Order: sequence, then C-alpha cells, then structure tokens
Amino acid sequence: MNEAEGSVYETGDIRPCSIYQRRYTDCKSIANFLHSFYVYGKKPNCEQFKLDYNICKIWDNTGSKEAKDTLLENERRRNEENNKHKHVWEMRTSPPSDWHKPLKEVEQAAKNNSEEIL
Amino acid sequence: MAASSKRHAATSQSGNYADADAGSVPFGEGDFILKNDSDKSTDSFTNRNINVDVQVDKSNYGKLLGHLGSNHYRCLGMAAYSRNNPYVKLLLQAMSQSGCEAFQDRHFACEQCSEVVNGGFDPSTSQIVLCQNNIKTQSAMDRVITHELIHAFDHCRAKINWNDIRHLACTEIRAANLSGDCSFGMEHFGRFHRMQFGFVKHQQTCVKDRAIRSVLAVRDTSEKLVKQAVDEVFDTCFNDLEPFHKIPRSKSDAKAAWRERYRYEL
Repeated sequence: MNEAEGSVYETGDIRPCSIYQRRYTDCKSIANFLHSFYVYGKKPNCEQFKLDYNICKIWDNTGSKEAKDTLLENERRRNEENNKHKHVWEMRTSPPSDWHKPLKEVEQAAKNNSEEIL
Repeated sequence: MAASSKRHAATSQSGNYADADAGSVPFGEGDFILKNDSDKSTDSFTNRNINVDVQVDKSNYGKLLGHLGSNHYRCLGMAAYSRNNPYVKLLLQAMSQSGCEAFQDRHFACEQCSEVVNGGFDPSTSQIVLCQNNIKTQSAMDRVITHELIHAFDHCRAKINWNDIRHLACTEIRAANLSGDCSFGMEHFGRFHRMQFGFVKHQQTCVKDRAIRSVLAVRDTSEKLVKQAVDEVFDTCFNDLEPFHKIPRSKSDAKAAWRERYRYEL
C-alpha cells in the first residue's frame, strides 16, 4: 500500500486498493448476480469496478499521477451519479434544532401544542 | 409540528408515532387502535411518556424482579446490544456524522404498545419507540431498530412534512428497501412471509406493498390515494440509497459500507 498517500485515504477521496478489489469481486459473485435479478431484474454491470481496480493497481505499483487523477475523477463521477437524482423533500443544511434538547422540554412543547389545538 | 400533533392526537393511539412499523405482522395490520385504552386515545401525547408504567413495584424487591424478568429491561438490554449489528452501526455512524448523534437514554424508548405494532419513530420528540411487549428476539430488535433509524436518518437530513403522504411514502419505501425487510430470505423463509413468492424484481413488489401497508397503518386515508402516492415517488426513493452505497444484500454488505467510511456531512 502506498503509505505516503495516507492523507488521500483519510479525506475519503480515494480508497485503498483492497476496497476496489472487494467491490469488484463482490460485484461478479454469484450471490450478487442473483441479487441483481431479484432487485432490478437484470444482470449486474461490473465494468466500472474492474476498471477502477486495475487503475488502482497501476497507481499502487507505479505511483503515476495520471492513474491517480483518473481514479479521483471516477470517484467524483460516481458520487455525482449517486446524488444526482432529485429528492421528494427539501434537504436540510443543519440538523433539526430539537434533536439534542432535553426530553422534558420537548415533551412539554408537544403537550402544549396539542393542548392549544384540542 | 402543531398541525401534525393535532392530527396524531386525534386519530388513534398509534397515531402519535409518525411511523409505526407493521412490517413483520402479516394479518390485520390495519387494526391499529388500542382496544383496551380507546378512551385514552384522544390525548395520546400525554400518554406517551418516557417513564413507562411497567408493572413493577418501586420497592427494592420489585426492582430486582424487574431486572430479572420484565419486558422493559429486556427491551433496553436488547436495544443496547443492537449497536453491534452492522446495519445499526452504519446508520448510527451516518447520523452522528450529520450531526444527529443518537443516545441510548434520549433517543430510544421502550414502551407498551398495541398488539400489532413493533416500533415507531416519533419526530416531535425525536425518539425511536420500541414495543417491549412485541419484540421478543434480538434479531427482531435489530430489524426494528434498523427500520426506524432509517426514518430518523431521513428526519435528520431532510425537512420531512409528516402530514404529506408523499413524504411518508418515500421514507417508508426507503426503510423497507434498505433495512433488509424485503430480502429474499425474509420474503421466502422468514417467519412472517406473506405467501407471495417471486424472484425477478420481487424486491420492488415487496417494497411497494410494505410501504403501502405501513402508510395505511399510520394514516387514515383511502388505499387508492396511498397507492397513487407510492407509485408517484417510487423511482426517486427506491434509488435513493443513502447512507448505504447499494442495496445491502446481507450483514457483510453493511459491514463493508461501514468500513469504507463514507462521509455524510450535510
């Protein structure tokens, strides 16, 4: 493993090659083949996983900058594809304000609300 | 939340949970009103108290007996142990990364429920309600907590209008899809499978069916409207896999996703 690039792993932009390998072997396993039919009704497409694993091996062995950039680009594209579908609801920018409020306060507020209406 | 609390309080006992998981109960899931306490159902918020009235006396002897055998302490113990389950681990990690860390004593409540409910998520107090009288085994507890944590995660990352039937349908679709309720094993060999066998695209059929039943369990609307809402949001919500990177096939998938340390900051 390329220890000098440890910081890259920590940011989560690129993952260790073992993870790409696991993704690829998982994708082409029989269990995943059946699962894919069960969920989507078609066979899985493992081309991208294979490509990523091979590029990662090249990067690991040679440390080439080109391979690293390709891998970063692929990761970015995958993240975009995962997030591109639009949501039914509006997303928050900060967590709900009453998440960490003490239980008594929250319950009191809920009770007051229901009393106002009833 | 004011309007929703009115609605919750007015409908039924189970109505104060934004989502009541009727998942593993095959028959009679529409029958949600508590038969014994129907007169209490008007002010369910005052009923839903974290200090559950367990049938344990407050003396030391009663406490000892309670620790040894009551549903309540068993439920708390199982809920604590669920943190070892990979699905639960992953969801808790995702939630704490988006700023909603879930604490055992604050965000989990073990309570007595009507016979057909397994659990629910209460957004007004942001608590996960676990039904101590219905959850008997550790695996059932893991499943219920996973299901409810997906609702909690949705509540944490998005502004969900709990009165909007489309939002409710969407979070139900996600929970049924990602919690493993519709996996092949659960559907065909599970204890409560519904004699609906299938293979190709069966997950989608199952998710739709469960979402419709779950929404009908908590909202007093016609089945036609619910079906329409589920169909409308199905594609969007079925493909929204956060915080998993794919539909988990088994525990090892969830474990792998947890190891990969995705980032979920808002």
